[in-house]
Amino acid sequence: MSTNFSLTSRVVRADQVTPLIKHFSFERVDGKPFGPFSAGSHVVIGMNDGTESHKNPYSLVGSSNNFMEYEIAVRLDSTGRGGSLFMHNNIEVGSEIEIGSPFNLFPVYKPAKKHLMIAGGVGITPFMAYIDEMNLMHSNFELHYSVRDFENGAFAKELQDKYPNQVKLYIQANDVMANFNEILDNQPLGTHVYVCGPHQMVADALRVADELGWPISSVHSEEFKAPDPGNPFTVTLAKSNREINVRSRESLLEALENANIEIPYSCRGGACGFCKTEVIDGEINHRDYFLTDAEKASGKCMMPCISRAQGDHLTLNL
Amino acid sequence: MTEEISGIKSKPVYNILQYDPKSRSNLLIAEDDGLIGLANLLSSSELIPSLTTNVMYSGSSIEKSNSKSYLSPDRYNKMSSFDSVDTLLLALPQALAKSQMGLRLYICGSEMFLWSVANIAKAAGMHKSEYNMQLIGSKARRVYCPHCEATSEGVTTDIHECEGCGLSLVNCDHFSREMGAYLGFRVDAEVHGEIPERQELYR
Repeated sequence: MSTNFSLTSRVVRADQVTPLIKHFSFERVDGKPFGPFSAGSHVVIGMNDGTESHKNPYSLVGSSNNFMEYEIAVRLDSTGRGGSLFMHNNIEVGSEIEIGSPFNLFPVYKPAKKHLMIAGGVGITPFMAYIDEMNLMHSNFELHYSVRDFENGAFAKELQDKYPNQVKLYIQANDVMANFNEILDNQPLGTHVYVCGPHQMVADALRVADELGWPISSVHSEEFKAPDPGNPFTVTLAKSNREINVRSRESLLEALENANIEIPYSCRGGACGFCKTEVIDGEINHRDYFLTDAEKASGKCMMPCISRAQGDHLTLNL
Repeated sequence: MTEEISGIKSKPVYNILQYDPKSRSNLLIAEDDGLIGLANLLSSSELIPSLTTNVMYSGSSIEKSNSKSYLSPDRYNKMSSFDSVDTLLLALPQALAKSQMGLRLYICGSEMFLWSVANIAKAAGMHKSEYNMQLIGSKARRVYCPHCEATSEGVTTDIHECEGCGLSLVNCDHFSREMGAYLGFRVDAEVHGEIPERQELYR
């Protein structure tokens, strides 16, 4: 499982690449290399801001051939739950944090004839590792990257300088919008498309791909969702006969972890399915992308990383 | 046509060609009597006339001069006829290399033909959901020999001599989509030289 290691690591570089995005490089405190990873992988960063612990998933943005350093880029969400704020304000060169093992929910389909990437905002992050890998493999690729303005386009300049023919920037401040119909139409047979960005952008791109006859197997997407706050509720753990409280701003998974209950996890955003947990009683407010509609309707399981109680109580088979 | 189910999951089951409403262009490919399958598909009311629909055909059993009139000409854009299956299979990669996402293939012919085309489609980056196959014609098999790694073509008997190593192989219903071939194995593996009489199973 993804939690099979947690490595204490030290920040060796921290650069503010845009007003909202900070780029970190880590190396292991023991000086050993990290394990290998494939482009598109994420890691969970564990940190403690003094009052709360946070575990946030971030795509690895560095080269998958560099085993000595892991790199991530963190977008500041000042209205979020505090993890990104802590990374921006308190994590500097020399700081130590915990890094979990990489897991890939968004791998490159290597046999594709062409790779078409569509990124929006901080959704550029997995594609940084993609492009490095594709460049080394001499793959045919194209990146369509939408940013609010040039200043807020993380890595936009370096990508454009390095790959002027393969990278197309869409700067919304200049009224240049990505037209998914134009991008996805007339692509050569054997192309695979990868979409990462805000929910609406991903949904729009997937809809257009479907309308243009792209098979599902050639369309890949990733969006991480941070757990939204909700009403507090209590949870009864049937097997261990315990009762725990879930506060408004913490997820059920976090509340379980704080009570020292180990649940396997990876993405912490309702996508990977690792933390699926059996529910015995209580109405569930499902917020994940993983469970099928039938599973959600059954009311017998949930993804505690992101989903909550509909009412004020749940009983779990834990 | 109903296919007998052998109980081996990998053995392909073929259906009548179904038009995919998601398609943005169509390429219909047939050999010999497979043209019948294409004719049925082309007469489907679901086929959208504004989309490009091309045909590639290699046939002997239906006179080529008739093949154009056999398919209603207002239902397709271009038909390419080939002297042999081999020349068709040689032209196909080029045709696919010029094609765009949204293309669907409809393939009709003998089982070996279906998988020859499917393997070219796969090499062009197509997923199995992008092609549709109907078996009309010979069920003669392509059989892979795990002893010498050669494949024998046109096997119609339960036991045959491998074209590569000459061993007598029994072919079973285990089918590899990767190779488009059934698996054979040495019939006298336990007692060398004890080879049962062969029987014709398919034509």
